[in-house]
Amino acid sequence: MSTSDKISQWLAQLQAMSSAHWAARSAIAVAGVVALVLPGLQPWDQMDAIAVAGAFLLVACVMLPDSLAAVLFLVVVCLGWLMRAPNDLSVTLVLTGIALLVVHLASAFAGQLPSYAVAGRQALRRWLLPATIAGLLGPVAAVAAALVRDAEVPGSLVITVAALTAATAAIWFASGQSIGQSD
Amino acid sequence: MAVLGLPLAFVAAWGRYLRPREKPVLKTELDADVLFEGQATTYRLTVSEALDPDIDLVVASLVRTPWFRYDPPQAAVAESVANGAVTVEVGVRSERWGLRQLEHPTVIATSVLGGYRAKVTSAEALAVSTLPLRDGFEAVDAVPRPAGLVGLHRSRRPGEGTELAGVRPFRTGDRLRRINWKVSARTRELHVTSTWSDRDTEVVILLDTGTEVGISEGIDGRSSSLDTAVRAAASIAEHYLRHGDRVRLIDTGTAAGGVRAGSGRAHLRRILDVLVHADRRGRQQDESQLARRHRIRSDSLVLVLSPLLHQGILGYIVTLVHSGCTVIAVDTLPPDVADIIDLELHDAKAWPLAWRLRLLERRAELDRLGDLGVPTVGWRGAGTLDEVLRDAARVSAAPRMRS
Repeated sequence: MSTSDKISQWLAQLQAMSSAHWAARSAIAVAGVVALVLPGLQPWDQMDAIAVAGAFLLVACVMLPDSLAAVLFLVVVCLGWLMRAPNDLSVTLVLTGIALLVVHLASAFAGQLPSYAVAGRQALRRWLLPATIAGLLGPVAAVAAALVRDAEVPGSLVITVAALTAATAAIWFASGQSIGQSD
Repeated sequence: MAVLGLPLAFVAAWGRYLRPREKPVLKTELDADVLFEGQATTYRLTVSEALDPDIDLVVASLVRTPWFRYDPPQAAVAESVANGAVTVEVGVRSERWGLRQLEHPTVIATSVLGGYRAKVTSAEALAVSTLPLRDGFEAVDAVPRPAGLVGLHRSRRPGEGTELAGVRPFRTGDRLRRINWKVSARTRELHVTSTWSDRDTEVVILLDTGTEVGISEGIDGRSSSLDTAVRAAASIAEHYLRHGDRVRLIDTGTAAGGVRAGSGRAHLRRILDVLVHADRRGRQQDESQLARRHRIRSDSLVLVLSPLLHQGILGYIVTLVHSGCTVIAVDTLPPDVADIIDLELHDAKAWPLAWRLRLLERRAELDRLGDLGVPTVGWRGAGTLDEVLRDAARVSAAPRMRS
C-alpha cells in the first residue's frame, strides 16, 4: 500500500470515527494540553525540550492512540517535573497527575477498539469505578504527604504508603468490590 | 513522585488483578447462507457462554468483502460483556450474485481498563451464496412449438387440459365425465365440454460466460454483460419453470457448467446453484466445439444471452437456426460500453473510436442474424421477450412451404 493510499485510508477512517472515539481523543487532547501547559506556567524553569517533545507526542497520541506515544508522553511530562520542579506539593502537581491519568485511560480506551467501531456507553461502565478511585488518589496522596511532612514524624515515607494503602482498601471495599470477582 | 505515579500504579494494579485467565472461544453464524441479490442477513458472533468474568469488552471487526454491504457500514462493533456472554450482530447485505466467503472476523477481547488483550479466532469460514434472482420476470404465454403434455401453455390442439375450447356433440372415445349435462338436456343430444390440451416446451438458455464487458456495480449500480446475462437467465428459467416447461441451461464458456433439461422448483434451484458460479473466469469455446458439445433438439426455443461480440457465438446461433431451432438473441452488452475507459490501460481518444467501429461491425452482424430469423432484443426485464415470442409463435403457426 502506497503512502497516498495509507493517507486516504486514514482520512476515511477519521471520517467514519465513532462518537466514543471522538470523546476519547478529545479527552486525550484536552488532558494532554493541561499536562503540558500547567508546568509551563510555573515559576520554575522547565526545559524547552519537554514542551516541544510533549507537543509532538501529544499530537501522535491523538492521532494514534494505540501506539507508544501515550507512554512516551507520560514519561516526558513526568521527567519534566522530576528534573526541574522544586520538591513542593502544589495544586498544579495534583492537576498534572490527574491530567496524565486521563491521558493514560483515554488512550487505553481508544487503543482497544478501531476508530470506526460502534461502541455504546456501556463500554465505559466498568472503567468508571477504578478511574474515579485513581483520580482521587492524587489529591489524597498530596494531602497525606503534606500532613506527614508538616508533622515531621520519623519514617514518614512508611506512614504515607501505609495510609495510602489503607485509603485505597477503604475505597475499594466501600464501592462493593469483592476480591476475586469483578462483578 | 507519589502524586504523579500513584494513580497510574493503582490503575496498573487494578488491571493486573482483574486479568482474564481463560481464552474466550468464538462462534460465528449466519441467519441465512443463501440470499437473493439485495437481500440482507445477520452475521452473528457469539463469544462462548463460559466467558471469563474479567473480560470487559469484545470488539469485532469484519474484513469488508467486495459485494457485501454491512450495517454498521464499517462492520466494527464493540460490545460490553453482559451475563457472561456477548453477542455481536452485524447486518450483511449481498449486492451481487455469486458464491463468496466472508473473511474471518477480527475479534479482540479486552479486560478491564484495557489491561489485557486477547485475539479470539474462529475455526470456520462462512460462505454466502447469492442467487441471481430479484424481480419477477413475465413473458406472454406463447411458445413457438409446444411439445409435451405437462405445461401450462395453451396448445393449438384440443385434448386433456383446463382451458375451455367449447362444447361439441359427443363422439366415441369421449370421457363420460366430460359430458355437459345442461347442454345435453337442453338439446336432447349428448354434448361434451372440450378443452385445449396443456402443453410444455423445452426452453434452452444459452449463457455466454466467456466474455464480460462493462462495469459491475452490484444490484443497485451498473451491470456488466455477465451480470445482465446471469440475472436474465435466472429470471427466464424461473418464469418458464413456473409455467411447467422444461428448461435447460448451456454455458458457452466453461465457467458455470450446464444443467440438462428438467422442470419443477428443484430444477430452478439447480439452475440457480449453477449460475452463482458464472463469475469464475471461463474460456470461450468456438463454434465447432459448441456444436459438438451441446446438441439441442430442433423444436426447442433457444434464448441466447450474450453480448454478441464473439464470432463463435454468432456462428453457433446460425448453426442452431439451420438445425430448426427457434432462436432469440438477448443482447446483454451495456449501452454505455464505449464510454467506459480505463485511463491507465486505454487511450482516451482511440478507445471510444475503436468501440464505435466495433459496434458498427456488430450491428451489421446482428442484421445478418435478423435476416436469418433471429430477433435481437436488449434485456429490459419483464416484457423483454413478449414481442419476439409472439412473432415466433405466429411464424411457427403459419403454413409451411416445402421447396
